[in-house]
Amino acid sequence: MSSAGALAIATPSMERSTRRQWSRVTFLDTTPPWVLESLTALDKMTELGDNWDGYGSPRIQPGALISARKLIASVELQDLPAPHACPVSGGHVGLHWRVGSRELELTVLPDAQIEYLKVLDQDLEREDSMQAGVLAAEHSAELERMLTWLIRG
Amino acid sequence: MGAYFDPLESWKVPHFGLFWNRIKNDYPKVEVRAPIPSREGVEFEFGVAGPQRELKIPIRCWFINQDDTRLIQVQNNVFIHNWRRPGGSQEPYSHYDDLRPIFEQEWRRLTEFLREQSLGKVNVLMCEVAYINHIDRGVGWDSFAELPRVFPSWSGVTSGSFLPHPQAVSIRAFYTMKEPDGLLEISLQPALRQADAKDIMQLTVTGRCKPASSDEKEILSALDAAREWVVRGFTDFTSAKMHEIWRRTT
Repeated sequence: MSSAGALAIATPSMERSTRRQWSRVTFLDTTPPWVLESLTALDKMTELGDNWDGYGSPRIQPGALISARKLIASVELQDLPAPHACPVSGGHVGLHWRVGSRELELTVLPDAQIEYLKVLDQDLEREDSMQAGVLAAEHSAELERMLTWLIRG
Repeated sequence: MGAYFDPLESWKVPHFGLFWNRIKNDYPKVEVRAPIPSREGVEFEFGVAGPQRELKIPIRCWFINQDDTRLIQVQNNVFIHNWRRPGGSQEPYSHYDDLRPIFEQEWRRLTEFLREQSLGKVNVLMCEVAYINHIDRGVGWDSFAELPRVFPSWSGVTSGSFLPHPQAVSIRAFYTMKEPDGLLEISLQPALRQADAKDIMQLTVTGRCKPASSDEKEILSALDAAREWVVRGFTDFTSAKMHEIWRRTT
């Protein structure tokens, strides 16, 4: 049998068989480019030592980095733009998105909590232009709602 | 491991529930998923159906056991049984010899159900065995520049010196199986494991072949042959150094 014949046997489809698997992993070759870019930015933060900001901040805490990696890996929204990932004083990790007039700023803490700041309107004089709060470790549904708000309004 | 067959034309959405009722004691959890597409794609008539026309809604159901270690996937042309190690567990892996009788039992439950419901006989097109291996960063490799140490068939060598080391590598290779006719797929994907956020390479080795007939004995025989290719293909594709590491750590 030729190779082409063998391929025909391998029906029903030529999709990667991993799509049929029962996996708890995020494949980096099929996710949007921002995922790999953000993970690379997080990797670079591990190189920062104590006092990286010149104001006595400790190095980025491993717990914050792991939580940020989990957060990025768990987001399944294809059309989300790349966040700006940055170190935050205190050893935390910051992720910041801006879509039109909407902004979402997340600060990932070492205990897996996430502080958030939603900017609903650029007119910051308005009392209801911002919302802030904290998400607990089991935050995926609420986080997904926020990210959906960010891209769809 | 699984079997792919001609679509059961009489299978309708309520049959998922009827079948679940039969296996619910062993698989109490259910999830409705998008179907595995066929070569022709997913047929979905909702958009063009008139009010008098019966809808054919393509879905796949997952039936999961209580401790989340075993899964049965069913759609009108697919039956798959998956096993996975519980999250965070160091429990030893289940081997093919342990899982084969379970597949046999569940396949029999499906075919008995089809017979009792007069849904027709299955015409099996293909049997499949897939083996998934997570290769953690730090276990035999630290960067994708070291990939040749894990997979001898990937040299990593370029014609010149322009390109830096790759940030990530994805490989998909197909090998023609002989005796029986079929195809072995080896897929390597960079990934992040959600449980612990660790970088891994997921190596998936999948053997697919057509059974001589749709008899249970022939299906199991095809699965055995596919499994043989998976094991030998995995060994051939990975390096002796990694075999040594895995021998020490398992």
